[in-house]
Amino acid sequence: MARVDLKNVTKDWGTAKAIDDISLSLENGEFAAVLGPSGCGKSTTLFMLAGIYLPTSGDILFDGARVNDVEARDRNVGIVFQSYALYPNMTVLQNITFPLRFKEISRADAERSAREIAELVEIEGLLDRRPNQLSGGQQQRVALARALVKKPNLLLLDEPLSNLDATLRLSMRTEIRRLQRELGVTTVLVTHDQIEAMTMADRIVCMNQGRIEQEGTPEALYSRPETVFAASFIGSPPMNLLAGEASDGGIKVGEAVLDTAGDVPPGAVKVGIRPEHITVNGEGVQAEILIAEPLGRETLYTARSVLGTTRFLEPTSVPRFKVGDQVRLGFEPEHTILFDGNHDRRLEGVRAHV
Amino acid sequence: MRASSTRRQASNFAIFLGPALAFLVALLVVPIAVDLVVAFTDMAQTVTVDEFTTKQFKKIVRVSDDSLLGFELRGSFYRALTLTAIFVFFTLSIFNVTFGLVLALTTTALPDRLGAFFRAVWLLPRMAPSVVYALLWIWVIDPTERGLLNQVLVNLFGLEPVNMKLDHPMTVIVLSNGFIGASIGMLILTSSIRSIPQHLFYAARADGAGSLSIIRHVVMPALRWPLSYITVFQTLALLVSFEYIFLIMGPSRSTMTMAMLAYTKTLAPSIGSGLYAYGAAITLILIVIGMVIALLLYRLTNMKSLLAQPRIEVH
Repeated sequence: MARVDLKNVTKDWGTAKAIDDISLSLENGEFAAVLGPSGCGKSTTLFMLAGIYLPTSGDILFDGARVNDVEARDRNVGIVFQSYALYPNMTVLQNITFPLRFKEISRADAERSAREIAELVEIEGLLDRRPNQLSGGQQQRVALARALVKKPNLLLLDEPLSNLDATLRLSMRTEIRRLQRELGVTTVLVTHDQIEAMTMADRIVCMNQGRIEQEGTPEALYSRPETVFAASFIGSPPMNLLAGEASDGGIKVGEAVLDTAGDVPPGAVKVGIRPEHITVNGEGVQAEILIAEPLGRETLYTARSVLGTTRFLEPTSVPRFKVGDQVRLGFEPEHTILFDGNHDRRLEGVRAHV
Repeated sequence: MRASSTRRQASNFAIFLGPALAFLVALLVVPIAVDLVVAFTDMAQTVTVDEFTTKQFKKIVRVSDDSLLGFELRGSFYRALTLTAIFVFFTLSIFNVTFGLVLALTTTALPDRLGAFFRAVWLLPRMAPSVVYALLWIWVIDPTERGLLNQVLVNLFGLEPVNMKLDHPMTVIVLSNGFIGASIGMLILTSSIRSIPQHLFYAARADGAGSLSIIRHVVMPALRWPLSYITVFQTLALLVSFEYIFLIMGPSRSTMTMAMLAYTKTLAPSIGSGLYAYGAAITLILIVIGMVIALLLYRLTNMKSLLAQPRIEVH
């Protein structure tokens, strides 16, 4: 277990900047998720923590000690890969004991630790199998066991759930979280799936184009996104973001003018409102339903109004409205978020309502 | 209805497989059949068959009635058998497999461009015409002080010049065939190493493995099948190869392998050629040896288990 710090880390691939000056601290035992779209630098960050890539500049510290020059094999880091990367020629037991071969541990002790960890991830019946005789979920567990058997300082999970089917993903999510709590190992999960990040991690680090957009608890990222990117990337269905122009008289969005609370500086702004924070048939503007999508527990509508096209959620499993129906849409003002239209950053202490 | 569909099947078979079958028969089956027939005749310089006989094989197993000539033929056959075994074993084990593996491992460990450069260098002899390649070797091992090897030995190390052709003939043919043969192994093994998922290397490094452990536990297991393939394929190729031996050494008795013997006794002009039936008999023996070796290696390398069905259980 270790405390992990990244200090002003950058990574260049030739002239391309993969990681652009990121700093990050992880407490001992913390579970952090690095979330972002493909190519945002999240896997690069992970591989730098593992010692597989070297940072171009900046420092990586484990428990306060600089590890930039420490080779991957000496960092005592466990990794679970998206492809699981099990050794195809070895049995499950040999796969799990493989990391212990390079430590001064007797064969018997290594085998005992492997069996203990196998029991923990519930694969004790599969130890004599080879990876090609296992299902995806089983391979996943073997990969976890192999990463955990050496009692790593740091556990790195690289999109570990993306090759599993939906049900299995749900159970592995809880499983990994349980294991991490039980063992108290500092963990970094890399994912492009915001639900994975939200459900599993204590803290989310949202990355975009090699930079950290925002970090914080899942709740904070959801309810107080600092940037337009974080607002649009987190939440499913995504937040409505309406481009407008602020002046003394309010914010002009489309053909409508929104009232404001607080001091909105004049100029371009974006008004953000999540689909579940749109009120229906109260005060508001006239809108026409374009699409109705039943999601099971609720229904997602897409509607057109003077504001433009907006999405809203209704907590009914059977759609209340049909395509073509007329409704009145309003905003819950306390849930509106305004962004500076030029820098895409959140404006503090301001609200808008229809 | 049924009759027409059967006819259709037959015509499809003829159209799609016919050309390939004709090709196989004409180029692979017919020569072996001809060889089989000729081996049991007395065909010689006149290219006529007077009788069907097993006397070609008798020449090999015991001193025949043709006394002196028969004695000579028997001697050269057993000598050829030994030289072939030495030639195939050393070329294969030192160069085609081991050196090919070393080249593949080192060139894939280098940065991409540098690795590709070295691989290209090793491919050059294969791209050059064989006569040019052979001429270069003849120049390298020239016994006078003009030879490259002797220039190095004499000028750099102050040693006596050596006559490789005379004193180490087998070394010459093993080296010359090995330098060219290693490139096939190198290419096949390089592509096999490249096809190992990158994550497996990352996983091994994170698990604490050093370079040698990675080669042993990640790379070598992935090369089992290509190594078996190279061994089988190159054994068969070397058994019948005589091109470079002939070009560099000529019909020298010191490097008269089975394939060389069959060639010089039949088709080589002006060096005792024309013993067609005898050459065919040797070739037939060579074919049988090749088949036995191929089957043995197939068993030894356990290719069957490499094709085992996975047992997958989904839960």
